[in-house]
Amino acid sequence: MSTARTNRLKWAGLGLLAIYSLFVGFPIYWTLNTAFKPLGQIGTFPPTLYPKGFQLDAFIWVLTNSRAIDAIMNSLIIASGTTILSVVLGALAGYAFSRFSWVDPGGHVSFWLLSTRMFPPVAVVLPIFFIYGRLGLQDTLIGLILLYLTFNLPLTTWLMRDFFDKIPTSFEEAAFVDGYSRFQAFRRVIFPLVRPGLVATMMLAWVFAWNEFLFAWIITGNNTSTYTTILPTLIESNQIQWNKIMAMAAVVATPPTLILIAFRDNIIEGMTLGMTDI
Amino acid sequence: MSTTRDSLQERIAVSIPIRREKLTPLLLVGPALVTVFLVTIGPMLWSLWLSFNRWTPSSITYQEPTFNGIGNFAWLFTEGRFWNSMANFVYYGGVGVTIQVLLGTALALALYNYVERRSVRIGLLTLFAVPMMIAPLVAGRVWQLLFLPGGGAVNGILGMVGNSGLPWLQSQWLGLTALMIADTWQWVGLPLLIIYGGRASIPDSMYEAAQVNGASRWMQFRRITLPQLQTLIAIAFILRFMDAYKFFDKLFIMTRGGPGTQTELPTFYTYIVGFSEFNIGRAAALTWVIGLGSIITMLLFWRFMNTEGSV
Amino acid sequence: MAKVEIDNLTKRYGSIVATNDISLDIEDGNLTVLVGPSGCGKTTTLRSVAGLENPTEGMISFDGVDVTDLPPQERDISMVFQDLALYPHMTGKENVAFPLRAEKGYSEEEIEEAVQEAAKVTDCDEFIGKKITDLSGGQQQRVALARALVRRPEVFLMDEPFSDLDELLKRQLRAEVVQLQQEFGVTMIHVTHDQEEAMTMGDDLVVMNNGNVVQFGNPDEVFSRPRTLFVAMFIGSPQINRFDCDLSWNGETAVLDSGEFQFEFSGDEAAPLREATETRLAVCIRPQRLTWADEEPEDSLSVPVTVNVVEKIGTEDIVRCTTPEGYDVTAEVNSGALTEGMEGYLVFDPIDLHLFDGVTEDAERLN
Repeated sequence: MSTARTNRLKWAGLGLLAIYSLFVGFPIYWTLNTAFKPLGQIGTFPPTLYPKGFQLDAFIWVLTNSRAIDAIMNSLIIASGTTILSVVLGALAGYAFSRFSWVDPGGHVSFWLLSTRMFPPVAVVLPIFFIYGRLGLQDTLIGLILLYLTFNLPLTTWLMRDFFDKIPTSFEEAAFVDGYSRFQAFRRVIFPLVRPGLVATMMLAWVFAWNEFLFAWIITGNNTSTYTTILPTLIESNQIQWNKIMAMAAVVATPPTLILIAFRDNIIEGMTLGMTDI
Repeated sequence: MSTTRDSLQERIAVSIPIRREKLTPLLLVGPALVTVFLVTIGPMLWSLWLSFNRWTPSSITYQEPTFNGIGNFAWLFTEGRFWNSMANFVYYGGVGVTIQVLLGTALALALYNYVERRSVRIGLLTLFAVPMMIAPLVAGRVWQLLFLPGGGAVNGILGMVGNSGLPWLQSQWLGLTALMIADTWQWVGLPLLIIYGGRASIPDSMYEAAQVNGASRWMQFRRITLPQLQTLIAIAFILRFMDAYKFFDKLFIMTRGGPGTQTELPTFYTYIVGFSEFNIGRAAALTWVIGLGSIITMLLFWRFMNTEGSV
Repeated sequence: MAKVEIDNLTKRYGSIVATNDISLDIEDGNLTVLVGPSGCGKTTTLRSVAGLENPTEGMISFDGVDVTDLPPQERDISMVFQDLALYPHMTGKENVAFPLRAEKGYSEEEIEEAVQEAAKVTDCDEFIGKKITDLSGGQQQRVALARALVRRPEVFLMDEPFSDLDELLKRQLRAEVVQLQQEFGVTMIHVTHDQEEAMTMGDDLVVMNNGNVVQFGNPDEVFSRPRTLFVAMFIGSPQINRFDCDLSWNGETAVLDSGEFQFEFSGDEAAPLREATETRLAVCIRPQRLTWADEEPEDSLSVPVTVNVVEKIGTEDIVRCTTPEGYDVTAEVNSGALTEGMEGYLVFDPIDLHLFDGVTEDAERLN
């Protein structure tokens, strides 16, 4: 192939990357653009590229309005609560799967665990809706914390098993020979080494819980709300409050984005189920 | 001190057999498995039973679940609205996921081959990963704004090139396409990252050997890059396709399945049947058909990949 | 210091038999090497002694005390693993101190003293304060040794720790380990697939194959009187020369015909051959036992050869020759004695021949 053609391919490739970068960045820019606009300026034709009547009202609303704050705080509590639970249970199970291969004969148990990911969430929330009703878990924070384990526990187990697999079994065996029980060996040797993986798993589980919608929409009611459940409802006198919505979007998208930047390598490894090691 | 320690050890030694390690792993795995059963598998088994029952617990026409055999399934397979949603899904899933995987692959390879500075590459990868971290509902809201007929940015940009704007969220094909665009924005990063990782792990020495043997760049691509990436591309496709089955949040906020039922997808239709019509038996049947369909598709794909001999 | 007795040790994984009814006595204060190819069961045996594997059948005792059901924690052993198992998040010093912290009985001063002593003996006191990840391969080896020594265990186990090192370091560490073992008089069991390592290190060798102990003895015995064809071919570098021959009797004279040449045995020399159960036997001779002659010698046995390749290894040369019919014969001669292309004869004494009953691995020694 000629150099000219190679060059054209290169410029095409770079061009594609440039266009795609714009494509990725544009909605982010537009979100911020809209968030700073007064309501009247939104939805005009042609749309304005920068907020001419720059105002912080929308952001102030997000950070001071009780309904908004409640929702965000609830999301925080639920996400954190379910993360701790799913990571503790998942790490214990993942350790067992890693060190005791006979617990997972033929890989069937872990396949089962992963297959729960293949059912649409509505499959679980349908029966849960009634079960929770009977148990009185409807419209409660703890109800959602437990329910979120549905998708987080298989994930954390899978990831932690991967992370434990990376530590050779000879490390524990050396500790055994030296007189340490399995628990002591875990505490002194394995845990310090798996901690980065543990943190990454926590972050990923937290982000998924933070972003969840359907379970929250169905299970919550008047007493509890999450930021995802109030987003479809920000309408006043038949007008969609776009600036408030976009301000809220910007605020709630910040934690996951920061987590991505801080834990980039591990997050990417986790999101691609261990396939990508940058 | 040492003698008492030794004799103590002797006594303990006799009483703790080495077989005790059978209990520990069960204790470790137990809580997780019990939880999964209680929160996921148990309820789903109940819903499986419900799918063979007729149950409409709304206050107006309340009745207890009554067994009606495969009645719900018979209804399902003859219900036009269901097939409408499946047809939409074939378009949305087939075309949409294919675009995501192809685009992701092209971007990954372009990024790896043509961007020289590592820091720029990492920076772009991070940027491309950002949409995946945003709540799908939030992304849907943003794209809803972008697709607004009057003041939406998309129509605004189209206006700049002379087009008078399209009724994005108000027709079937445009609606589904709009959903696809939003979903692509959010998820191209996944195949992109997977393929990028795969490409990065192909040793340079393979390409160098090919160059020494006089292979052109196209040949190198066909004979080295593509075979190595085949499996990963297939995996990326499976992952995204299975996620497509679950597509809900953006649909809910952007079109509500509308106009009418024109942009409905199976999962959304299930939601309507269950939480709007309150026909639980039918909704349960729907979830199982969809879920099993997803698993079967995955198994078929896996079988297909294995017989191709590419794994 | 303890005597280790292994009785009828059998370990099965499903249908795979890793160790097959093995019985061994390892003397107190000896350095015993388990040697054999991959999959022969040597590592399984070692791990069974350590308590990291549960035997399917059999018993292990230290100084007469049955330890078979004891977990590794209770067995007063030390072990150096193949990947060294040094903890990367700790310094060398912390790694060495680690075994002592398992029991609450030691004071900080006692620990410090023991660590310093172990470090000095293994020659790593200079860099022991550094993090493991900052140390070179050889330095890490020493720290691993120090950690194993710090508790002065009864039994000291080594699982192929030197396999990934370069030649120079290997030789160095082998010598140091032997020295340490003799100095402290520890009972040491060392596993390796490298027969040279086994020969240079061991007081006793246990040659294993396919889950069985094939021969037990000191290096001399194993080298000069291999019990089976497998041992003869596995032990010794360069590899022993082997001729597969057909046995026939000419009255009282035994004739071994390899197709190209024949060996005749009569009288006392023929006696062991009467015990043969097979008709096709393996006849072996060590390269070190062949001498060169330019002319065919009158009253000694010899084979005509042409020199193919001369490998220089220092004071000796390894000459790889071929007979007129194309058989390969290897000999070890003084350096510079021969050059490629030379034709001559390799002379040997029938007393140096090893005769085996058959041509399979487990063919037993006849003479």
